Formats: sequence, structure tokens, C-alpha cells
Amino acid sequence: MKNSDQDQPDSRDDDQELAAKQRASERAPKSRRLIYLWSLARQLPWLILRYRL
Amino acid sequence: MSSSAPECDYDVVVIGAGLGGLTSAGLLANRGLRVGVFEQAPRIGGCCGSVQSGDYQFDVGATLVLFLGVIERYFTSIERSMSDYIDFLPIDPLLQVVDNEKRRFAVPTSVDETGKVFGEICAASGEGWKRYAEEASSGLLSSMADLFAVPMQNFQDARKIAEDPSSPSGSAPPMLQSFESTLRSFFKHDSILGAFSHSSYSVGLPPALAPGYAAFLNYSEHDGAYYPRGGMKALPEGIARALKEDGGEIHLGARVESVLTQGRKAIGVRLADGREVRARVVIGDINVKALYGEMLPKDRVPLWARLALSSLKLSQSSVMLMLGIEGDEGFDAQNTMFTQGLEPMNRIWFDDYERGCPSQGGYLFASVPSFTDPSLAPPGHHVVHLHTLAPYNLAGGRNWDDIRDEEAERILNFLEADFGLFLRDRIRCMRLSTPVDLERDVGLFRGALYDLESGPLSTSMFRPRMRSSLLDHLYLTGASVHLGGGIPTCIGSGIIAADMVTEDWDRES
Repeated sequence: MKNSDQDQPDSRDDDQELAAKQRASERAPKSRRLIYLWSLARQLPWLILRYRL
Repeated sequence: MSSSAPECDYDVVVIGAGLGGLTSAGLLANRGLRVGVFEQAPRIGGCCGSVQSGDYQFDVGATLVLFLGVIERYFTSIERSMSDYIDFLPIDPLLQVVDNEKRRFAVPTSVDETGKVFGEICAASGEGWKRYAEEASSGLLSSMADLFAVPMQNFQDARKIAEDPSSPSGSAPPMLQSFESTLRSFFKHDSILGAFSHSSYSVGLPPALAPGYAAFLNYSEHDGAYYPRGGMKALPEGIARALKEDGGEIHLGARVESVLTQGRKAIGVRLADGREVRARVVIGDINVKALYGEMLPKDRVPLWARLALSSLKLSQSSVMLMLGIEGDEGFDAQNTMFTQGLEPMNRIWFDDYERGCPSQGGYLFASVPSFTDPSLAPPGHHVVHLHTLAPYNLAGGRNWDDIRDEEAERILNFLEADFGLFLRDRIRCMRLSTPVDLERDVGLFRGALYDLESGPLSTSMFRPRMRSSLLDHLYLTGASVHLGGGIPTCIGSGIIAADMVTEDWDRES
């Protein structure tokens, strides 16, 4: 009984963690698109120097 | 071409015996110039090479060859047949994929057969492969190899290519879409996404940051992937043999300390032992940050050039666990991708690599070339290379030499825990190559596997020019310049640099 009581919160935690991971994974591609575009935007000021090099 | 004044030791001095430098040297020697190659390591080839450990022969970096046409083009240019110098063995299947649910599937060389394999995994994957293959084979990317020996130094070069009716045509590759977005538009199955996302690291970036066009690199393998008989060293050795036959000289263990200059002109090199070697032309086949930052006189590298150099980021570094094992259980092909899916491929970059930590999981890429060339190991044994991402600089002041055993253990534990592959009892030989080893033993700057990263804004004309912008008579080849890191790309850059030297030499003579 004691074990079962201890298992229930663990199991709920696991489910919540899994659900959170799934939500994060679904969100990730969208936020990563912004990260990609931002990574390009940050390089723009250097382009003339890179071209000259 | 006619040789220059006798006061020079050579017509052309090449710094570094990587594939780019050897290719340039071979072409120029064949065209009648006196060429000397100076390599700091005790062997040629850079990270395209092999090392013997007991009865096993391991590769030090690259483990397969794509775009064989570029190498053929080199040998044709020097009026030789490639098959007389290098025996390339086909790799088929291209890849075995193992996911963390222990599902296994092979990716064959045949495009149609691959479609069948993916269709058996799920109908959507089969359909996705069909669309992916159509896009890859109809766009500009399908003719990528034709552009491997064409200069792309500035907008004029780009215009020439666009206006040339013989240039490859097709839709422009996706630039504003990331590798990850592009791949996800074709595939949903996480094991396929995970397996294919490995190629984002061949441009030095994770799937989230690599450009969309790199997502089609996997398709290029279906034109054929090869392994040189005798190990990866057989490729640079084949090129070097032809170079020597044409009178070229290679000096091993000869570290170049600086480039000698006279005004705005390169006139030779100074070696670490103090000797000066005079030449009319200097070709650098080393990392551009090392060449411009450490070998040129300070006053020849103005502030704008230093800023440009510092804005260029290096590609990723990695660790490679080399194993000599008994039996072949666990491996069905030369190349195996052990994958946890696409998301972990990003996570290991953002959560581990950028924070100076060895990657905690994600993937392992296994190369077992003894499947293709059994001579690399004793009968019944195999050589296994296990690659994964690893930063050059470790967080917390740790040193790679201090965590060597820990890292080997971590890799073996990962294989056991996530993929159920137990190798320990079968290991007969083991060595770990860290990013620091790659720099120390192979000369790879900061252990960066592909030199500078090849994002959309650090490629072609946004990479340092092959005809140096800082010094006359100085040329650059190899992974730092146009075409980027990789075997066919470095050989292509060697061809372009040699053609530039030839053009300038003839004009000035």
C-alpha cells in the first residue's frame, strides 16, 4: 500500500513530464525557425567585410 | 608554363599537405612548375588519413568519399587514370539506422529501393521520400558536382555562372529555411528525421541552424558512396604519388612558421627550424585564421580583415572512439546511425556543445570500414569508429586528457543503455581521438572537422578569397575557402586555386 501511494505521485510526475516534453517538442520547431532567421540576421553586419576578405 | 628565376627554391610552395594543397601541387607540378609541399605532421592527408594500432587500421577523420567525379576530374587533368592510383570500393547500403526502440532499417544506394524501405516504415515516409527525391534531383542541387571546380569569389563569378548556358539550371536551394524545417516538410518519422539530420553537421551546424539546402546532402550519397581500398590514407597517397611522378616534393615534419613578404607580395615561407624557402607563389592549405592571424606580418592584416576573420565561426569538433572488435554482431553495414530522433540532435548542440560539455546522448555515428575493406582488421574482426559531437574547449577548466577514460565509458554506456549493443567483451583494441588530438596529431585547427562553418552567409563569396585579398602571390585552398570542408570540396578548391595560379602566372610571365 505504501509503495502504491509512493508510486502514484511518481507516475503522475512522469506523465506530466512526458506531456511537458511533448509540448516543448511541438513548440520547438516554430521557435527554432526564429532562431535560424535570427542567426542569419546577426551575421548581416559582417557580410561586407567577409566579402572583402 | 615555364619555371621562374633560379634564385627561388621553388616556383610554388604549398603550406599543408591536405587534399586541397596536394591537388593544387599535383596540377601545378604537372603543368611544369617546381613545387614543394611543407607539412608539419609526419604524414599527408590532414583528416583524410589512417593510423595503425596493433592489427587494426583506423581512419583519423573522414570515413567515406562522395562525388567521385571531382577526383576523376583531377586525374584526367594530369592525363592519368584514377583507377591506376586509387581503388574505390562502393558502399552499399549507404546507412543502417538503429533507433532507441531498437528498430533497424537500411538505406540502400538505389533511390527506388530506399522509397520501398521508407514505405514499409510508414506510407507517409514512402511518400515523403518520393517528394524529397524529386526536389533533390530537379533543383540546382542535382548539379552541385558540376560547380565543384568553378570559382565563386565575388559577384562577377556568380554572374558568369548564371549567364553561362552550360551552367546547371534548376530551382534555387532553400536559403531562408533551416535544415530542420526543410527536412520536416518531407518526413515525420522521428527515426528518419534523426538519421538524416546527421548531415546538418557536415556544414558544421545543428539541424535548427544549418541551411535548408544542406538537407539534400543525404540525397547526393545515392549517386554513390565509396571507400578507398587500403583505408582513407589511400586517397591522399594516390594524389601524392602522381605529384611526385611529376617532380613535386613533399617535406614531412616541416612546420611553416610564417609567410615571407616583400611589400605586398608573398615571396616564400620561413620554417620552424629557421630555414627560409623562397618561391614565386605561396599556397596556404591551412585554416585561414591560423594563416592570416599567425603567419602573416601584423601590418599585413588590417583591422577590417581581423574583424572579418573573427566573425567567421568554426564548424563543430567531435570525439571518435576507435575500437578493434571481434565479430560483427550489432553492425550490418559500413555506416550505422544510432539515433534518438531529430530533437536530441539540436539539444546536444544548445545544451551540451555550446556550454562546453561532451554531448549527453543524442546520436552516435558508427563507421565500420572493414565491412567494405576486410584488410583493415584480422579475419573475423572489425574496426569500429564511433563519432559524436564534442567541444574543443571544456567547461570548468577541464582538460580532454583528464576525461579521456570517462568519455570512452560514456560512449560505451550510451550504446548499451539506449541501443542494447554490448561491445565491451569483444573489444581487442581501443583508442579515443579527442578534438585536441585532432589538432595535435592531424593539424586540424581547434579540432573543427569541417574548418569554418558553412552557413548561407559564410559560404561561396562570403568565405575568404582563394586569391588572397591581403597579399599578392598568395593563394588559399582547402576547407577554409569556397566549397568548404569535405573531401570532394577540398579537392575542388585545389583545382580552382591551381587554375588561378596558372592564369596569373601566364599573364605575368
